[in-house]
Amino acid sequence: MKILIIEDEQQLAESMAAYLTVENYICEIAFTLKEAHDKTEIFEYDCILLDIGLPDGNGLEILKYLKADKKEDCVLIISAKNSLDDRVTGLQLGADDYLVKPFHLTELSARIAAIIRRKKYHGNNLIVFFEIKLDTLSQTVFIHQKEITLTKKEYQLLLYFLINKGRIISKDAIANHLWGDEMDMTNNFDFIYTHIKNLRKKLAEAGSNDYIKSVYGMGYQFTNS
Amino acid sequence: MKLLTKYRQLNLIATCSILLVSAFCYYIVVWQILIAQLDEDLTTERQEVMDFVKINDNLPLPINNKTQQLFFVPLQKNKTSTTISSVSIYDATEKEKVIFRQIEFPVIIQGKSFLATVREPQAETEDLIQYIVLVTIIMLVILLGLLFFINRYFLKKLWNPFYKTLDELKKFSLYKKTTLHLESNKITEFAQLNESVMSMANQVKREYTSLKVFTENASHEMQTPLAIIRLKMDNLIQDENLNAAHLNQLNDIYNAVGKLQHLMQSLLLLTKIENGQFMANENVLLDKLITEKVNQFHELFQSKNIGLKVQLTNKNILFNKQLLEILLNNLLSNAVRYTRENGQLEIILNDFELNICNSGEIALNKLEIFNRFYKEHNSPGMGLGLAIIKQICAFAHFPVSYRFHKKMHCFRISFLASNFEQN
Repeated sequence: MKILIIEDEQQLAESMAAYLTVENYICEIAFTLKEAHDKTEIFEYDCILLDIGLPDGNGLEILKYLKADKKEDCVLIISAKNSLDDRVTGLQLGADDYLVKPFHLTELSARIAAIIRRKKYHGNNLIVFFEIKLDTLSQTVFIHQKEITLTKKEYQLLLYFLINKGRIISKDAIANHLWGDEMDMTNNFDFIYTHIKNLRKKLAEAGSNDYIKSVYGMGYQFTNS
Repeated sequence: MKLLTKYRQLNLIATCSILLVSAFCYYIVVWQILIAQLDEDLTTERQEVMDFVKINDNLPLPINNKTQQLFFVPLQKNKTSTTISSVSIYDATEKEKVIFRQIEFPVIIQGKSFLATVREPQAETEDLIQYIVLVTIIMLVILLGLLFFINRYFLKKLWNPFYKTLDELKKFSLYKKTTLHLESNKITEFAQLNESVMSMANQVKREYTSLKVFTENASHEMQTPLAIIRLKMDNLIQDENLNAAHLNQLNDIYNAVGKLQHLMQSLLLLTKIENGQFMANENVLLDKLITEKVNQFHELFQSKNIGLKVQLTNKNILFNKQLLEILLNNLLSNAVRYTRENGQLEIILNDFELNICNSGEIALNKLEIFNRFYKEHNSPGMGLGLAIIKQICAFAHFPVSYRFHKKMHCFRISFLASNFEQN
């Protein structure tokens, strides 16, 4: 799957590309509006990560090109400005989602996955990991073909793990994903532990292996190794 | 006290004193002049008597009428000098004491000494003085009264530019985008005042704007490096060669970066509110929003086993939803952070105010807690949460106050600006 990263900050662009490449995405980077325009004209991307503040113009212009060319690339806006106006304008111009800098790569990955799932693979909403099967449309989870009941938070947590499988996810990223970043808990993430514990218990009761590994106070990893 | 009132007071005191003193002086002067006139008359009378004696070597006939008295008394001792004085003599017909001016002088007739006395009543003179003084005082009072009203009119007119300037200054606000504009004036002092005030206001505004721009830019510029640090770390922690010690250190860096990021966002938010970049034009169902937020924080309350008491009545306010969410987030975050395990949290909303109370041990410094970067001891926060709350409330014209009551920290947001109590 191809992703175009439109971002003038080289370090950021490369970090995103590095992370997403491991997730088996093919990443290209455009540093300017012009470059981005040229690339979108020629190629088709599954998802475009779009920074609004570009040196040669407003990134929202890209959305206008795409609309004019009737292209259906998914667009995820990445902006340093947490401004409601930008968000509304971006979404009105056809963007699929909006992510505010700074964000976690795990969050970026989850958002991209969600957009692509929603827009590109109508019908196929199943995420499978060994005996775990998660249906994003009906928001249901099956272990060995048997449905288990999860709370909303536990479901979101499992989905987050599955999309970022094999990756170490920091507690901060989990907290942000589940509760939003406006909750100022000043690094007290004890409450996450309760949710992990409950999820683990429910998965184990249904006969699933324990894939959730705790990583030295840093965070968690969903892996079968 | 108004300047005009003060001026009128001083003016009144000054004019009255001047009036009294000048009336007194005037009286004395006129009296002196008239008495001198009288004395001159008496001296002429004396000369007439002396001339008569010289020619006739006899005394003239005594006179006793209303305007003049002349009589002679034999003199025992020899007296050579002439004296003029005022005497008061009982008048049997008028039944009162009457003041006379008299001249006494010796005359010698056929070797015998007599004391001649010529008297003229002083009352007429006194009456005259009184009339003169009275007329003068009336004139003065009329004059001063006129001056008073003329002054009043002119003063008002003269000070008008000053009051205009004052009105403009009252309307002036750093937060608003308007600049201070004062009209030029022909009067040097007011022109200078306006110039100084304008240059000062503009200077303050420039400084304020540059500070704001600086904060905004600094926060913006720091976002990118922070984002880079975060993304690099997200990548870094995936490295399988890292051991526990590395990861522990990385975790500390994560936390520090998280704090820094939160600081930036808070500063940016404060600047945005000050800049008036938010609109207060949304109808928000506050009770519904609170319920949503309480649900969002549910797990956090649970994790500390905080007892929750929520009492909400339907309340619809015209404000900004995003800011209200931030307000509630900050209030609830504080409540979770500072309430001890098994503590209590009360959220009470009625038509007039929102009260959020949580258990605590000692009262906070109510004068300082809303200040930026103020921290109580052992506070893990940055001291911006309440500053943001205050700023949002100020923007909404909702007075916010803190009090410590029955071992509870209580924050109250009043929806009626007039109910403001500076606790």
